Amino acid sequence: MRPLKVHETNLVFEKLKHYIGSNVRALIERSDGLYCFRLNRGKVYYVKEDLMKLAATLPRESIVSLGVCFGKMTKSGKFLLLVTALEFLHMYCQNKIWLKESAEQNFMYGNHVYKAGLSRISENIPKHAGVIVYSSKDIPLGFGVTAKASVDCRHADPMDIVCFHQADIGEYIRNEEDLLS
Amino acid sequence: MNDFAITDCWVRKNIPQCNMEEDTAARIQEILDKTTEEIKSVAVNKEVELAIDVGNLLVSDENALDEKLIRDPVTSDEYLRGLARDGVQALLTKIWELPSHQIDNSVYVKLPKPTTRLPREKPLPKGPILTKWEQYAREKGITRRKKEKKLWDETLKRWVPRYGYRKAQADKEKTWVLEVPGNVNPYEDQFEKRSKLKKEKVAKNEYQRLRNIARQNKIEVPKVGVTGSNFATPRELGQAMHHAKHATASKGKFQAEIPGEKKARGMGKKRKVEFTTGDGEQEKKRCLDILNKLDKPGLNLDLAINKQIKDENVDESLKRIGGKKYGRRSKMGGRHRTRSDYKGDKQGKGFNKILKGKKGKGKTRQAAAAGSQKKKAGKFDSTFKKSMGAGSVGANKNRGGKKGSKG
Repeated sequence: MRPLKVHETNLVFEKLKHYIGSNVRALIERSDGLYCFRLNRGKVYYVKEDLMKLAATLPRESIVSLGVCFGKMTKSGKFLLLVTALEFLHMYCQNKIWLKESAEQNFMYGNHVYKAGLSRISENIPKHAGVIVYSSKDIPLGFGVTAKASVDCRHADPMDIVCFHQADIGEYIRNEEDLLS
Repeated sequence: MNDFAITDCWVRKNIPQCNMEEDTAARIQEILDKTTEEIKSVAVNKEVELAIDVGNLLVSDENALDEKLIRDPVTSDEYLRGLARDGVQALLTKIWELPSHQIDNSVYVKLPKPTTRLPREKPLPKGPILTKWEQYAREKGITRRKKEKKLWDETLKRWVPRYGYRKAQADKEKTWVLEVPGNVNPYEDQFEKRSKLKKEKVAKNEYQRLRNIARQNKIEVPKVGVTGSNFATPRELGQAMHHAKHATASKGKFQAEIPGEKKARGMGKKRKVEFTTGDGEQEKKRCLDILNKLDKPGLNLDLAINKQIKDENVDESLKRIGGKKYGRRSKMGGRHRTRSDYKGDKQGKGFNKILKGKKGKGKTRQAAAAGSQKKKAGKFDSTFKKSMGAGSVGANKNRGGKKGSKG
């Protein structure tokens, strides 16, 4: 376990900014204590400092997970957000998409969001912006990237992709092994 | 320092106090008994006598402990207390035997010199750092031998100093001729060769002297590039190359890479590793700094596009009209153009190349006065103005305004 290097921190923050904008600051400046990002075995964790200090006493091979896993550093040097970060992303997110009930299951099987399944979309989302996908009952289902700006969605075909799938809570069942290892 | 004070009360304690009011015989007897008992207790009887170092106020008891008493939790405390009392008693008895004097109702004793050697408080000082030769000589057991200051020279038939004053002179006298060895170039100057060799030796000795000084002062001396070595390892050669490459004004930033060149390892910037459980506040600050940097606006697209369009326009007009962009002045200096230079340009006397190339030499005010040339001169003026204008666009902003006002 080690702190992120400068370029890694840049990667993580840039990716987070994509989804929650300037609220990244809120993740670091918290009133309830110090929180930090730590990298262990290629995964980036968001941990309270006290907990991290306790975990630092263990050998890194033995640590399965600590705090909240935000994502992983890929072998090609990119940062990939994982569905486990959804909890924090949806707390601070700015761009949202709501799905129709019929499309929820489809999305949770790992498919993109089509215009047909779109129920609502927040205003002024540009193209290729990070969005959080909600169910019709306002439960966060996952996140993705818009394929169209919200203005263009109105005139899109029903089978046009509105939002590219990135992660969904179905992964907790589908990729259980990958998420916790 | 070794004065030892025994207070008044302590002295009084040893003297039995008599109450004059009770005169009974029994009481007297009791007191007498008590006194004898006390006197008895002053004596300490031990199988092995106690070793007392009065100077250090130290008593060491070498008698064997009573196993039975010391193991029993009930008696052990009493037993140890007794031992300690005996020791202190013996010490104080010894102290009382010493000659004492009284100052302000306190009895003082001068303690003798301590007999027990205590270990040193601080580590031993390290000796001077030896020179390389001294170290070598010590290892090999080479001892210094006294050498005579003067030696008998057979050729000169006189005593010649080993070194110093008049040694060089004697050397010169002696070696007025030198043999040319059979295996060398016969045209080589043997005297020059000799003096060169001598100079090298002196230089080597000087280097070694400095190295020894550096050793004594614990200064790191670069191992490569100074003297060089015939037996340098690839790593040393790599380091030498690294040093050579970086010995430029720009620290080797613009040195070309040789194909297949390997960078010397461990010579670059050291990576700073943050502690896993370091200062949390500091880490927070670091993160916020990174965020601040991310939040800063990057490229201003509108500004950049406008500038590009402007530059292109300027280039195009220059191509059409002809002229040179007076954008940048060389960092190496170059001539600073003054007001009179511009004036000269206008009047056709400038050092400007366009002027010379396009309009030819010797274009003077008189020539410009001629009718047909007047027109051309007018055209040139406008060209120059435009080129100057272009210059102010590309020039750095500080000078831009100034130039514009001139143009």
